[in-house]
Amino acid sequence: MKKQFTKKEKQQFVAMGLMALIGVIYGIWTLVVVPMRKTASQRAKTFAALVKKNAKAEEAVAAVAADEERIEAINAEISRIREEYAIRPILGSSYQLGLRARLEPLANATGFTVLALLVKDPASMPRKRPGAPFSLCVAEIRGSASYRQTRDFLAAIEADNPYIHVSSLTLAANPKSVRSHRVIIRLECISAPVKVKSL
Amino acid sequence: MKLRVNLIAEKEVRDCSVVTPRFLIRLTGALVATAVLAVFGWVFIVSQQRATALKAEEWKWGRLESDFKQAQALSKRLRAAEFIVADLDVWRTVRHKWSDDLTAIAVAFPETLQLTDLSMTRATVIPAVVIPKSKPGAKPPRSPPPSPPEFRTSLRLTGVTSSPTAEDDVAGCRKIFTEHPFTNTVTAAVIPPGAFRQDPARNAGPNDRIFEISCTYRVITL
Repeated sequence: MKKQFTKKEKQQFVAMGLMALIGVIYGIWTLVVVPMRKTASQRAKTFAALVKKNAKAEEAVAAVAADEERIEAINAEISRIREEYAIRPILGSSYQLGLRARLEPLANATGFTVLALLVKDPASMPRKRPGAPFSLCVAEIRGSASYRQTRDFLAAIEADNPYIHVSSLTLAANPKSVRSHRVIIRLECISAPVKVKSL
Repeated sequence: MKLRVNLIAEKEVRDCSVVTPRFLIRLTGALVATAVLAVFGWVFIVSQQRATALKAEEWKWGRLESDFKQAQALSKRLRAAEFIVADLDVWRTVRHKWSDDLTAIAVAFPETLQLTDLSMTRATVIPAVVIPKSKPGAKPPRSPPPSPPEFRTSLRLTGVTSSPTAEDDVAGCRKIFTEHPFTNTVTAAVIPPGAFRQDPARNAGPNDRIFEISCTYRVITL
Protein backbone atom coordinates (compact mmCIF):
# COMPACT_ATOMS: atom_id res chain seq x y z
CA MET A 1 0.00 0.00 0.00
CA LYS A 2 1.26 3.39 -0.99
CA LYS A 3 2.41 5.39 1.96
CA GLN A 4 0.33 8.41 2.51
CA PHE A 5 2.24 11.59 3.42
CA THR A 6 0.95 14.21 5.72
CA LYS A 7 0.49 17.75 4.44
CA LYS A 8 3.58 18.92 6.36
CA GLU A 9 5.66 16.11 4.83
CA LYS A 10 4.46 17.09 1.38
CA GLN A 11 5.43 20.70 2.00
CA GLN A 12 8.86 19.56 3.12
CA PHE A 13 9.25 17.49 -0.06
CA VAL A 14 8.27 20.47 -2.21
CA ALA A 15 10.72 22.74 -0.39
CA MET A 16 13.53 20.21 -0.79
CA GLY A 17 12.67 19.71 -4.45
CA LEU A 18 12.71 23.43 -5.03
CA MET A 19 16.08 23.78 -3.31
CA ALA A 20 17.50 20.92 -5.38
CA LEU A 21 16.16 22.51 -8.54
CA ILE A 22 17.67 25.88 -7.67
CA GLY A 23 20.97 24.13 -6.90
CA VAL A 24 20.94 22.34 -10.25
CA ILE A 25 20.11 25.55 -12.14
CA TYR A 26 22.79 27.46 -10.26
CA GLY A 27 25.32 24.70 -11.01
CA ILE A 28 24.51 24.72 -14.73
CA TRP A 29 24.61 28.54 -14.79
CA THR A 30 27.94 28.74 -12.99
CA LEU A 31 29.74 25.84 -14.59
CA VAL A 32 28.39 25.95 -18.11
CA VAL A 33 26.52 29.12 -19.05
CA VAL A 34 28.81 31.68 -17.42
CA PRO A 35 32.09 30.35 -18.94
CA MET A 36 30.38 29.97 -22.29
CA ARG A 37 29.10 33.55 -22.15
CA LYS A 38 32.54 34.76 -21.07
CA THR A 39 34.14 33.01 -24.03
CA ALA A 40 31.46 34.38 -26.34
CA SER A 41 31.97 37.91 -25.06
CA GLN A 42 35.75 37.57 -25.47
CA ARG A 43 35.24 36.27 -28.98
CA ALA A 44 32.92 39.20 -29.68
CA LYS A 45 35.61 41.64 -28.55
CA THR A 46 38.30 39.93 -30.62
CA PHE A 47 35.90 39.82 -33.55
CA ALA A 48 35.11 43.54 -33.30
CA ALA A 49 38.82 44.41 -33.10
CA LEU A 50 39.60 42.14 -36.03
CA VAL A 51 36.77 43.62 -38.11
CA LYS A 52 38.18 47.09 -37.44
CA LYS A 53 41.70 45.89 -38.27
CA ASN A 54 40.51 44.25 -41.47
CA ALA A 55 38.58 47.36 -42.51
CA LYS A 56 41.69 49.46 -41.88
CA ALA A 57 43.82 46.97 -43.79
CA GLU A 58 41.38 46.95 -46.72
CA GLU A 59 41.38 50.73 -46.75
CA ALA A 60 45.18 50.83 -46.69
CA VAL A 61 45.47 48.23 -49.43
CA ALA A 62 42.91 50.11 -51.52
CA ALA A 63 44.97 53.29 -51.16
CA VAL A 64 48.17 51.67 -52.44
CA ALA A 65 47.66 52.73 -56.05
CA ALA A 66 46.96 56.33 -55.06
CA ASP A 67 49.96 56.35 -52.69
CA GLU A 68 52.25 55.00 -55.39
CA GLU A 69 50.99 57.64 -57.78
CA ARG A 70 51.56 60.35 -55.19
CA ILE A 71 55.11 59.14 -54.43
CA GLU A 72 55.82 59.16 -58.14
CA ALA A 73 54.52 62.72 -58.40
CA ILE A 74 56.61 63.80 -55.40
CA ASN A 75 59.69 62.17 -56.88
CA ALA A 76 59.07 63.99 -60.15
CA GLU A 77 58.65 67.30 -58.29
CA ILE A 78 61.79 66.71 -56.24
CA SER A 79 63.65 65.76 -59.36
CA ARG A 80 62.53 69.01 -61.04
CA ILE A 81 63.61 71.10 -58.03
CA ARG A 82 66.93 69.27 -57.98
CA GLU A 83 67.59 69.81 -61.66
CA GLU A 84 66.48 73.44 -61.71
CA TYR A 85 67.46 74.84 -58.34
CA ALA A 86 69.73 72.60 -56.29
CA ILE A 87 73.44 73.29 -56.31
CA ARG A 88 75.11 70.21 -57.72
CA PRO A 89 78.76 69.27 -57.48
CA ILE A 90 80.61 69.66 -60.75
CA LEU A 91 83.34 67.17 -61.61
CA GLY A 92 82.09 64.93 -58.88
CA SER A 93 83.08 66.90 -55.82
CA SER A 94 83.01 70.65 -56.11
CA TYR A 95 79.87 72.44 -55.06
CA GLN A 96 81.84 75.66 -55.48
CA LEU A 97 82.02 75.19 -59.22
CA GLY A 98 78.33 74.38 -59.29
CA LEU A 99 77.43 77.59 -57.50
CA ARG A 100 79.92 79.67 -59.44
CA ALA A 101 78.37 78.52 -62.71
CA ARG A 102 75.02 79.72 -61.46
CA LEU A 103 76.13 83.02 -59.93
CA GLU A 104 78.64 84.30 -62.45
CA PRO A 105 76.13 85.15 -65.19
CA LEU A 106 73.99 87.00 -62.61
CA ALA A 107 76.98 88.94 -61.30
CA ASN A 108 78.08 89.84 -64.82
CA ALA A 109 74.59 90.98 -65.75
CA THR A 110 74.31 93.28 -62.74
CA GLY A 111 77.90 94.57 -62.64
CA PHE A 112 78.68 92.94 -59.30
CA THR A 113 82.33 92.04 -59.04
CA VAL A 114 82.85 88.71 -57.30
CA LEU A 115 86.24 88.77 -55.60
CA ALA A 116 85.96 85.45 -53.85
CA LEU A 117 83.50 82.65 -53.54
CA LEU A 118 83.75 80.08 -50.82
CA VAL A 119 81.37 77.17 -50.50
CA LYS A 120 81.28 75.07 -47.37
CA ASP A 121 80.51 71.37 -47.39
CA PRO A 122 76.78 70.73 -47.46
CA ALA A 123 75.10 70.25 -44.11
CA SER A 124 71.62 69.07 -43.14
CA MET A 125 68.67 71.35 -43.76
CA PRO A 126 67.44 73.10 -40.58
CA ARG A 127 64.85 70.39 -40.11
CA LYS A 128 66.77 67.17 -40.30
CA ARG A 129 64.95 64.45 -42.18
CA PRO A 130 66.67 61.10 -42.46
CA GLY A 131 67.03 60.10 -46.10
CA ALA A 132 66.18 63.59 -47.39
CA PRO A 133 67.56 64.08 -50.90
CA PHE A 134 68.60 67.69 -50.25
CA SER A 135 71.24 69.28 -48.12
CA LEU A 136 72.11 72.84 -47.26
CA CYS A 137 75.06 74.46 -48.93
CA VAL A 138 76.42 77.64 -47.35
CA ALA A 139 78.37 79.98 -49.57
CA GLU A 140 80.14 83.22 -48.90
CA ILE A 141 80.60 85.75 -51.67
CA ARG A 142 83.05 88.60 -51.23
CA GLY A 143 82.65 91.28 -53.77
CA SER A 144 82.85 94.87 -54.70
CA ALA A 145 79.91 96.85 -56.01
CA SER A 146 77.77 99.91 -55.58
CA TYR A 147 74.63 99.81 -53.44
CA ARG A 148 72.52 99.56 -56.57
CA GLN A 149 74.62 96.78 -58.10
CA THR A 150 74.46 94.85 -54.84
CA ARG A 151 70.70 95.24 -54.71
CA ASP A 152 70.37 94.18 -58.35
CA PHE A 153 72.64 91.20 -57.79
CA LEU A 154 70.54 90.09 -54.81
CA ALA A 155 67.36 90.62 -56.82
CA ALA A 156 68.81 88.53 -59.64
CA ILE A 157 69.78 85.72 -57.25
CA GLU A 158 66.34 85.80 -55.64
CA ALA A 159 64.58 85.79 -59.00
CA ASP A 160 66.78 83.04 -60.39
CA ASN A 161 66.33 80.60 -57.56
CA PRO A 162 63.46 80.63 -55.03
CA TYR A 163 65.35 78.20 -52.81
CA ILE A 164 68.35 80.46 -52.16
CA HIS A 165 68.28 82.44 -48.95
CA VAL A 166 70.50 85.40 -48.21
CA SER A 167 71.43 84.63 -44.63
CA SER A 168 73.81 87.51 -44.12
CA LEU A 169 74.75 90.69 -45.89
CA THR A 170 77.43 93.19 -45.00
CA LEU A 171 77.84 96.28 -47.04
CA ALA A 172 80.67 98.52 -45.90
CA ALA A 173 81.14 101.84 -47.65
CA ASN A 174 84.41 102.40 -49.36
CA PRO A 175 85.28 106.06 -48.65
CA LYS A 176 87.63 106.16 -51.65
CA SER A 177 85.08 104.95 -54.17
CA VAL A 178 81.33 105.01 -53.66
CA ARG A 179 80.97 102.74 -56.65
CA SER A 180 82.86 99.89 -55.05
CA HIS A 181 81.65 99.16 -51.54
CA ARG A 182 82.95 96.07 -49.85
CA VAL A 183 80.20 93.47 -49.84
CA ILE A 184 79.98 90.13 -48.13
CA ILE A 185 76.97 88.01 -48.91
CA ARG A 186 76.30 84.70 -47.28
CA LEU A 187 73.91 82.42 -49.09
CA GLU A 188 72.12 79.28 -48.03
CA CYS A 189 71.15 77.12 -50.97
CA ILE A 190 69.63 73.71 -51.28
CA SER A 191 72.11 71.25 -52.71
CA ALA A 192 72.04 67.68 -53.86
CA PRO A 193 74.70 65.12 -54.64
CA VAL A 194 75.18 63.80 -58.16
CA LYS A 195 73.46 60.51 -57.50
CA VAL A 196 70.22 60.81 -55.62
CA LYS A 197 68.09 57.96 -54.32
CA SER A 198 64.40 58.21 -55.08
CA LEU A 199 62.08 58.56 -52.12
CA MET B 1 -32.32 19.11 11.07
CA LYS B 2 -30.15 17.25 8.56
CA LEU B 3 -27.16 15.31 9.75
CA ARG B 4 -24.13 14.85 7.52
CA VAL B 5 -21.69 12.12 8.42
CA ASN B 6 -18.17 12.06 6.84
CA LEU B 7 -16.50 8.71 7.45
CA ILE B 8 -13.29 9.46 5.42
CA ALA B 9 -10.28 10.33 7.49
CA GLU B 10 -8.67 13.63 6.69
CA LYS B 11 -5.47 12.00 5.31
CA GLU B 12 -7.60 9.75 3.08
CA VAL B 13 -9.24 12.71 1.35
CA ARG B 14 -8.36 12.86 -2.38
CA ASP B 15 -8.57 15.95 -4.53
CA CYS B 16 -10.71 15.19 -7.55
CA SER B 17 -9.90 18.41 -9.51
CA VAL B 18 -7.87 18.18 -12.81
CA VAL B 19 -5.16 20.66 -11.68
CA THR B 20 -3.65 18.70 -8.86
CA PRO B 21 -0.57 19.81 -6.91
CA ARG B 22 1.35 16.92 -8.51
CA PHE B 23 0.39 18.17 -11.96
CA LEU B 24 1.43 21.70 -11.00
CA ILE B 25 4.81 20.48 -9.76
CA ARG B 26 5.43 18.50 -12.95
CA LEU B 27 4.37 21.40 -15.12
CA THR B 28 6.63 23.81 -13.24
CA GLY B 29 9.53 21.35 -13.47
CA ALA B 30 9.03 20.95 -17.19
CA LEU B 31 8.83 24.70 -17.72
CA VAL B 32 11.96 25.34 -15.68
CA ALA B 33 13.83 22.57 -17.52
CA THR B 34 12.73 24.00 -20.86
CA ALA B 35 13.79 27.50 -19.83
CA VAL B 36 17.19 26.26 -18.66
CA LEU B 37 17.69 24.30 -21.88
CA ALA B 38 16.59 27.30 -23.97
CA VAL B 39 19.04 29.62 -22.22
CA PHE B 40 21.80 27.05 -22.48
CA GLY B 41 21.05 26.46 -26.15
CA TRP B 42 20.86 30.15 -26.91
CA VAL B 43 24.20 30.82 -25.20
CA PHE B 44 25.74 27.86 -27.02
CA ILE B 45 24.43 28.99 -30.43
CA VAL B 46 25.63 32.58 -29.89
CA SER B 47 29.05 31.31 -28.83
CA GLN B 48 29.30 29.09 -31.91
CA GLN B 49 28.15 31.89 -34.23
CA ARG B 50 30.81 34.19 -32.83
CA ALA B 51 33.45 31.52 -33.17
CA THR B 52 32.51 31.03 -36.83
CA ALA B 53 32.50 34.77 -37.53
CA LEU B 54 35.85 35.13 -35.77
CA LYS B 55 37.33 32.34 -37.86
CA ALA B 56 36.09 34.07 -41.03
CA GLU B 57 37.69 37.36 -39.99
CA GLU B 58 40.93 35.58 -39.03
CA TRP B 59 41.01 33.99 -42.46
CA LYS B 60 40.43 37.40 -44.05
CA TRP B 61 43.25 38.92 -41.96
CA GLY B 62 45.53 36.08 -42.99
CA ARG B 63 44.92 37.02 -46.63
CA LEU B 64 45.34 40.76 -46.03
CA GLU B 65 48.26 40.81 -43.59
CA SER B 66 51.18 40.85 -46.02
CA ASP B 67 49.48 43.34 -48.36
CA PHE B 68 48.66 45.53 -45.39
CA LYS B 69 52.28 45.51 -44.20
CA GLN B 70 53.42 46.55 -47.67
CA ALA B 71 50.75 49.26 -47.78
CA GLN B 72 51.88 50.53 -44.39
CA ALA B 73 55.51 50.68 -45.52
CA LEU B 74 54.41 52.56 -48.64
CA SER B 75 52.31 54.94 -46.58
CA LYS B 76 55.31 55.58 -44.31
CA ARG B 77 57.44 56.33 -47.38
CA LEU B 78 54.76 58.68 -48.66
CA ARG B 79 54.58 60.50 -45.33
CA ALA B 80 58.36 60.93 -45.28
CA ALA B 81 58.28 62.22 -48.87
CA GLU B 82 55.45 64.63 -48.04
CA PHE B 83 57.42 65.97 -45.07
CA ILE B 84 60.38 66.63 -47.35
CA VAL B 85 58.21 68.42 -49.91
CA ALA B 86 56.57 70.40 -47.10
CA ASP B 87 60.02 71.37 -45.79
CA LEU B 88 61.01 72.58 -49.23
CA ASP B 89 57.78 74.55 -49.55
CA VAL B 90 58.35 76.18 -46.18
CA TRP B 91 61.97 76.89 -47.09
CA ARG B 92 60.80 78.62 -50.26
CA THR B 93 57.95 80.58 -48.71
CA VAL B 94 59.78 81.90 -45.63
CA ARG B 95 62.55 83.41 -47.72
CA HIS B 96 62.97 87.10 -47.15
CA LYS B 97 63.67 89.13 -50.28
CA TRP B 98 66.49 91.45 -49.24
CA SER B 99 66.54 93.20 -52.60
CA ASP B 100 63.08 94.63 -51.76
CA ASP B 101 64.34 95.92 -48.42
CA LEU B 102 67.42 97.46 -50.02
CA THR B 103 65.18 99.20 -52.56
CA ALA B 104 62.86 100.50 -49.83
CA ILE B 105 65.80 101.76 -47.76
CA ALA B 106 67.35 103.50 -50.80
CA VAL B 107 64.06 105.20 -51.66
CA ALA B 108 63.24 106.41 -48.16
CA PHE B 109 66.71 107.15 -46.82
CA PRO B 110 67.08 110.92 -46.12
CA GLU B 111 69.56 112.66 -48.38
CA THR B 112 71.18 114.35 -45.40
CA LEU B 113 72.39 111.02 -44.03
CA GLN B 114 75.17 108.92 -45.45
CA LEU B 115 75.10 105.18 -44.93
CA THR B 116 78.52 103.78 -44.13
CA ASP B 117 77.68 100.28 -43.11
CA LEU B 118 74.74 97.95 -43.53
CA SER B 119 74.77 94.63 -41.82
CA MET B 120 72.05 92.05 -41.93
CA THR B 121 72.32 88.77 -40.08
CA ARG B 122 69.90 85.91 -40.00
CA ALA B 123 70.51 83.15 -37.49
CA THR B 124 68.86 79.77 -37.48
CA VAL B 125 67.97 78.92 -33.92
CA ILE B 126 66.53 75.68 -32.66
CA PRO B 127 64.64 76.56 -29.46
CA ALA B 128 65.45 74.42 -26.46
CA VAL B 129 62.87 71.83 -25.57
CA VAL B 130 61.54 72.02 -22.03
CA ILE B 131 61.53 68.56 -20.54
CA PRO B 132 58.91 68.24 -17.80
CA LYS B 133 60.26 67.20 -14.42
CA SER B 134 59.37 63.73 -13.27
CA LYS B 135 58.30 62.90 -9.77
CA PRO B 136 60.84 60.87 -7.76
CA GLY B 137 60.33 57.19 -8.36
CA ALA B 138 57.91 57.79 -11.22
CA LYS B 139 58.55 56.76 -14.80
CA PRO B 140 60.45 59.55 -16.60
CA PRO B 141 58.13 61.44 -18.98
CA ARG B 142 58.59 61.07 -22.72
CA SER B 143 60.71 63.85 -24.12
CA PRO B 144 58.64 66.19 -26.30
CA PRO B 145 59.38 66.41 -30.03
CA PRO B 146 62.09 68.88 -31.05
CA SER B 147 60.90 72.43 -31.62
CA PRO B 148 60.93 73.68 -35.20
CA PRO B 149 63.89 75.88 -36.12
CA GLU B 150 63.44 79.64 -36.14
CA PHE B 151 64.94 82.38 -38.25
CA ARG B 152 65.95 85.39 -36.18
CA THR B 153 66.99 88.31 -38.32
CA SER B 154 68.46 91.65 -37.44
CA LEU B 155 69.57 94.62 -39.47
CA ARG B 156 71.99 97.30 -38.40
CA LEU B 157 72.52 100.51 -40.29
CA THR B 158 75.42 102.78 -39.47
CA GLY B 159 75.99 106.18 -41.03
CA VAL B 160 77.34 109.68 -40.74
CA THR B 161 75.74 113.07 -41.11
CA SER B 162 76.72 116.68 -40.83
CA SER B 163 73.22 118.05 -41.23
CA PRO B 164 72.01 120.62 -38.69
CA THR B 165 68.76 118.66 -38.53
CA ALA B 166 70.59 115.38 -38.00
CA GLU B 167 68.63 114.29 -34.94
CA ASP B 168 65.30 114.68 -36.72
CA ASP B 169 66.68 113.04 -39.85
CA VAL B 170 67.93 110.00 -37.96
CA ALA B 171 64.60 109.75 -36.15
CA GLY B 172 62.87 109.99 -39.53
CA CYS B 173 65.17 107.29 -40.88
CA ARG B 174 64.25 105.02 -37.97
CA LYS B 175 60.60 105.68 -38.79
CA ILE B 176 61.10 104.11 -42.24
CA PHE B 177 61.06 100.74 -40.53
CA THR B 178 57.70 101.33 -38.90
CA GLU B 179 56.00 102.02 -42.22
CA HIS B 180 55.26 100.15 -45.40
CA PRO B 181 56.90 97.86 -46.61
CA PHE B 182 58.48 97.04 -43.23
CA THR B 183 55.31 96.92 -41.13
CA ASN B 184 54.86 93.19 -41.62
CA THR B 185 58.48 92.21 -41.20
CA VAL B 186 60.20 94.51 -38.73
CA THR B 187 59.05 94.22 -35.14
CA ALA B 188 61.37 96.81 -33.62
CA ALA B 189 63.59 99.58 -34.94
CA VAL B 190 65.62 101.46 -32.35
CA ILE B 191 68.45 103.90 -32.11
CA PRO B 192 70.50 102.24 -29.37
CA PRO B 193 71.40 104.49 -26.42
CA GLY B 194 74.53 106.46 -27.25
CA ALA B 195 74.42 105.45 -30.89
CA PHE B 196 73.71 108.98 -32.10
CA ARG B 197 76.81 110.93 -31.11
CA GLN B 198 79.63 113.19 -32.18
CA ASP B 199 81.83 111.64 -34.86
CA PRO B 200 85.05 110.61 -33.06
CA ALA B 201 87.14 110.82 -36.27
CA ARG B 202 90.08 113.24 -36.12
CA ASN B 203 89.03 115.30 -39.10
CA ALA B 204 85.38 115.47 -38.04
CA GLY B 205 83.72 118.88 -37.77
CA PRO B 206 81.51 120.02 -34.87
CA ASN B 207 78.34 119.10 -36.79
CA ASP B 208 79.58 115.66 -37.81
CA ARG B 209 77.63 112.93 -36.11
CA ILE B 210 77.47 109.20 -36.39
CA PHE B 211 74.33 107.17 -35.90
CA GLU B 212 73.15 103.63 -35.75
CA ILE B 213 69.73 102.08 -36.22
CA SER B 214 69.05 98.50 -35.16
CA CYS B 215 66.09 96.59 -36.50
CA THR B 216 64.73 93.28 -35.31
CA TYR B 217 62.71 91.26 -37.75
CA ARG B 218 59.77 89.06 -36.99
CA VAL B 219 60.85 85.57 -35.93
CA ILE B 220 59.96 83.05 -38.58
CA THR B 221 59.29 79.49 -37.54
CA LEU B 222 60.10 76.87 -40.13
